[in-house]
Amino acid sequence: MISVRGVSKSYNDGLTWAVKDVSFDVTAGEVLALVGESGCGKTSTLKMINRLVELTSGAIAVGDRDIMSIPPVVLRRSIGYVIQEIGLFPHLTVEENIGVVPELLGWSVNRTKERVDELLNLVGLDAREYRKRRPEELSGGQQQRVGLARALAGGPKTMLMDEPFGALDPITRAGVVEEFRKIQHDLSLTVIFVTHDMAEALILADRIAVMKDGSIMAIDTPSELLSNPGDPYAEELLSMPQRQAKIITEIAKSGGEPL
Amino acid sequence: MKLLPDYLGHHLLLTLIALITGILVCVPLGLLVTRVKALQWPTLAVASVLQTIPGIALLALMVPLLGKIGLIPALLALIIYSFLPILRNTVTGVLNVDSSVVEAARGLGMSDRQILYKIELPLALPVLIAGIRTATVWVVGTATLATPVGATSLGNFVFSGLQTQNVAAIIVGCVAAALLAIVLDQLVRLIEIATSGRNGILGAAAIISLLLLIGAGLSPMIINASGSKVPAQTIVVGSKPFTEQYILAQTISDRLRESGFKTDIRSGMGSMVLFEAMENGEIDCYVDYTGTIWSNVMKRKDVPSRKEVLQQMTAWLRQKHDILCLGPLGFENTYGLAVREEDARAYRLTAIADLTPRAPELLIGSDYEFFLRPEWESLRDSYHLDFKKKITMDPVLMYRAISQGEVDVISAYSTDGRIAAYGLVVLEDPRQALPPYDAVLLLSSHVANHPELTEALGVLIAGIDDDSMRQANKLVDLDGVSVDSAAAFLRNGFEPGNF
Repeated sequence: MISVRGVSKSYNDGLTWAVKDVSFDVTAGEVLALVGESGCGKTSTLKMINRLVELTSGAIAVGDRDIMSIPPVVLRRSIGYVIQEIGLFPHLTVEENIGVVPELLGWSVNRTKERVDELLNLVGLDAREYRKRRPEELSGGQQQRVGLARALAGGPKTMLMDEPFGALDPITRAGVVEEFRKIQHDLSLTVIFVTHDMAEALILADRIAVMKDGSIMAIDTPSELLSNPGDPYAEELLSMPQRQAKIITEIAKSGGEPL
Repeated sequence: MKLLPDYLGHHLLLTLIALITGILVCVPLGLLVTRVKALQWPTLAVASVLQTIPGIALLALMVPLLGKIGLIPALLALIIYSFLPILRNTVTGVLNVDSSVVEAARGLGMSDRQILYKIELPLALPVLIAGIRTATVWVVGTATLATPVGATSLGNFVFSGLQTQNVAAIIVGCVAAALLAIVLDQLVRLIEIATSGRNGILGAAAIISLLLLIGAGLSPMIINASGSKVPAQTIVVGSKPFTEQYILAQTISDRLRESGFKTDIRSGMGSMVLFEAMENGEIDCYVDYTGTIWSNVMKRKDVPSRKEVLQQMTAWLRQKHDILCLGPLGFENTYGLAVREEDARAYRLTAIADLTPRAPELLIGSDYEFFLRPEWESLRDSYHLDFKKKITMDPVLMYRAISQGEVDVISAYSTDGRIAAYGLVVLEDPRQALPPYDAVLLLSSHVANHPELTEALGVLIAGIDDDSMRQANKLVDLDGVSVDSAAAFLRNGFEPGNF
């Protein structure tokens, strides 16, 4: 579905490289997490796929078509895009926010309206109640649900998500993540998402790519990476949730006494 | 007060054309510089610098730059004045749009143009409108300064009110300008509320009231234009910025109206601006003084007799500038140096030469023009005058300044009723450093051949003597009589039936 071949990115004419010779494939319906520290190149890699960042060398294909052969706006309308800041348009209602891509695709008013209702219900918001609201009237979790609905509006088979749940509080986050998993499964979406939360990557992803200094250090399924990381950095990063869980368990056992 | 609709209409016209042009230029320019970052700093810097030029200076600058007076230079200055707030707020408004919102728009597949029109502009609108509102208030205020460059505005009330000590006129001008600023500001605000809340009815109401306002503002001009009878030509009468000139302009205008002409008075212009305006045909008729033309325009330094000056000037104007001097009005208004009576007695001052030894201790006050005119040079050099300090002030304030001892010598006008009223003595000029200043009626070339007009104005020639003019000036300056009434008083002098 998505094929990334030897892709590199330099923002300063080759002086330094944000992404160096990265290659991976994502099959249809698969979820890939890009993990790593800030500045490791994971967001640049993600944005090169919908050409928000233009690649310096290498090739990317989405659904068997070279992305460079498609005008950027056409490419982006066919790929869902969700960001941590959500970026809902504050001057538009929920309905109009979700209707942006259908409008860009030239859908009829009625078709767009039906689609908006369908998507609001899909993300767990009552269409009648929320359709006419403004983003400022929504909670953080509701805003991200609308952001998700907006990304799905054009019926994309592929989603790119940059820290999609990063701004939500833990309880809300757990709910939204759960719903997203269900939607992803039901629509068999192909998803690439960026996160620095290892637990989220382990729970959501079919495969995880660990990035450091612009390169992929390891790429495999969560269970394989946990049992056989093959790279010291990947091992350290991925064992983080388990180590934290262990510490938490010990705190509980100690009966509240400091360790 | 009867002039209010006319002045308000002109003021509104000036303001709205300037603002609309400002918006049409600065909003696109502002959007451009948010795309081309390299242009941002220089563009805003130029706009800021233009803004630091005082309004009156910017207006004054437009006259020599364009070589014209009236609506065009006033409009250009006001347009420039509206630039900074609109430009700065457009840029700020767009740059303040949350970058994540723009990124989301781009990520969803909006083109640059769609992002601009559907996202950035609507979100920048409140800040942009705030800029337009600031510009509105500034432009309405600055437009009152358009009077001295020959554009009619509410400033006509203020400037002529200041010269003729008519406080009521000043207040009318100020209040009308303030009300206009408030009304326009609120209308723009209404349009903003309507667009942001997408309230069609409110928006329509605001736009309709704006259009009504424009219509109401223009109606006096439209009625004037459509309802005019033969002769359709409007005679533009000019005046310099002092009482005598206001009265004479009114007298000329009254006389022409009685003969069926339409007239328009452009008051409060400087001597050279007025002369050039006449040469360009923007002013048809005004009163100047032989000595002013002799020294300032002809650049003559010799001083022959009154009669010779008049004859040579008349011939010269006809040949070189195609301006007709219809003839002398009958009085002379010379520049003279005046001192307080008690000083004249104490220091035995009778002629200007008596001032020479004392000058280094004395302060001299004068109007806006005198120290820059060749007559001052001639006076200074003939009598070796070296005053401690030269102070420029409005003619209205000179007399009070000398009587209160703030200055010791002033350049007085000999027809000014205030010389006697304030107990001043005009010093003699035996060396004839100053030329004679006979008041003469000048006509531009395209009305000069109009027999009805020259006939109508003919009665003014030799119709006003020194004493009548001095009395008319005194009526306005000291007795608080209106310019209209003073003009009527003058007219009695040359209309035999009224005696």
